[in-house]
Amino acid sequence: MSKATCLRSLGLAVLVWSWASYAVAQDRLHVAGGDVTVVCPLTVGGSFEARTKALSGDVGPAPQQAGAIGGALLVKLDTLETGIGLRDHHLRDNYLEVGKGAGYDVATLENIQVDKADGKGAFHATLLLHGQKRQVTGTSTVHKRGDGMTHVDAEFPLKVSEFEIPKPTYLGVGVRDEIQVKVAFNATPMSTTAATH
Amino acid sequence: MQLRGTRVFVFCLLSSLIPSASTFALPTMIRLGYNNCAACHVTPQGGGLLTPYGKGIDTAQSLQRRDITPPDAPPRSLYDVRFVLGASRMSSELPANSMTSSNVRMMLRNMVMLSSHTAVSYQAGVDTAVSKKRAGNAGTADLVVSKALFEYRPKEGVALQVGRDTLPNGLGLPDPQTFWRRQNDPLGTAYPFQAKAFLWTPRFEVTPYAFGPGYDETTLAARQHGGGVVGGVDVWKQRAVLGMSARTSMSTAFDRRSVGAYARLGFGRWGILGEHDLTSRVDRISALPQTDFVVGFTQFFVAPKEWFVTSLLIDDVATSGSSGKHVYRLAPAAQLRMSDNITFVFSTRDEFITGLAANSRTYSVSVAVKSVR
Repeated sequence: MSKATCLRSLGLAVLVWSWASYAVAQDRLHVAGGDVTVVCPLTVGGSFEARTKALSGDVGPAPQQAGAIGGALLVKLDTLETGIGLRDHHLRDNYLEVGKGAGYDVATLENIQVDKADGKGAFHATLLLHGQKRQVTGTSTVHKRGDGMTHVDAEFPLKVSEFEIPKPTYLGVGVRDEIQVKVAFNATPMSTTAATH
Repeated sequence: MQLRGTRVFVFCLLSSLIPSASTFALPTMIRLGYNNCAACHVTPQGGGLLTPYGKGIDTAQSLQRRDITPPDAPPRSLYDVRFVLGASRMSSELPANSMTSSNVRMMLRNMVMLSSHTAVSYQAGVDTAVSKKRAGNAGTADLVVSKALFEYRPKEGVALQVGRDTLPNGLGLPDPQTFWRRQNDPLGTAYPFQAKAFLWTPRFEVTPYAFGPGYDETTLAARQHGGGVVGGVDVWKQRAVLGMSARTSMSTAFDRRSVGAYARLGFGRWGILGEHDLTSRVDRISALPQTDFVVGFTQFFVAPKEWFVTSLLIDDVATSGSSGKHVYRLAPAAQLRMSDNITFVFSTRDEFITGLAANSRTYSVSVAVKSVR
């Protein structure tokens, strides 16, 4: 093979690799904040919500499997707020035990599998919470906007006991075992994000 | 008789002038998802004595917050002693009506569990008030039994009560009830004998009730019998309860019928409480035409801190008939819960009356001191 042919081949390879990388970057989405709301029903009626905006992560199609989403969504649990300071302290330190570090301070949603990449559908994922990994199933609504932004609303139930979280009770009133998690976020294409950073 | 009438007038006036600390009580907690009172209060109607959990929330939301150690076993008897000290200064467009007043209210609140399903509760105390006007000074000292109830709770979500208490309403706030009663039932009782049932689920609340006289009415003709119902539904994420109420009552002198609607809305740090009601009163003895009262209460509240709640109250009463008038009040207020023992309330209240009657402004401060159980 001549030197010129080698250079041409190398140039073509670089071009193909660059295009492929660009295409993947176009499909991958960066989550730059959102709202996570955990609805906790009380055993005596009523409920409270724990909220945070500390949601981050990068997600995008996984090439190996249709419907699969690569990447992960991360929620910093030490930012959860319930509206009552003492209850925040109980939630973070006594029940979620965020001080234990990795696997406890951040909840991670990964191995996400969606039925529909646009519109409303079901999803399955693996949730790492309180050091435990469990499958969760819920509904998601994906709305791709004209400006390239994608808005996602998702919610799923989970059982506190399945994650080996101590039963949350205070002075005779407890949180029911099944709670509801709601996630809403806007995501921007990674290339746009990269271009603007 | 005239002296007694004066005492009643002064008592009613002072009750309406001095903001009750419970004005800020727990309907505002819907902002945090507490869509009914049963979680924190020993009676589902709300107000009064707190359950251990309610006490825990009360403490957690004070400036000096702390953790409460749970009791080893559920307490069989709950009690506290509450003092409310109030002072106010009312300036009227008619200088002769201007007055300075002070009020001390001492209340013992107690509930005793008779069994796992039955309990008795009562709230009694002394209410003293002194007022100073140009025309002279006046004072009252009254023994008040504001609650004496037997309760049977067959299961969670069902409670039957018999005894003396305030009548159920949509918001559970005593202050608007006092104001409304002053307009359309000034001689009636605040604490009639009654039988009522509370039925509630996470979504629904219904309270049918029947009532009779309180036997502290100032005239026999003011003694009433009747019944009513209050019912609401949670329409949005345990942050929005909408409901309706209806009541009918009769005495030897008149018939009264009311229908109303209420809303409790809460959105984290702020919310709105509203209750509006149309009452028709028909005189049985004279040929006077029917009198209609359209009454309304709206409270917009904001809680910048857990221990600091501000609010703006708007009361409104429009009365039809020959003595028709329109009274409305604007009352900005601030409540500071310093600890689980001490709460301060500051407010001003402007009262406007159409026609020739004098408008007035009242500045008031009150401190509620509660014993630690």
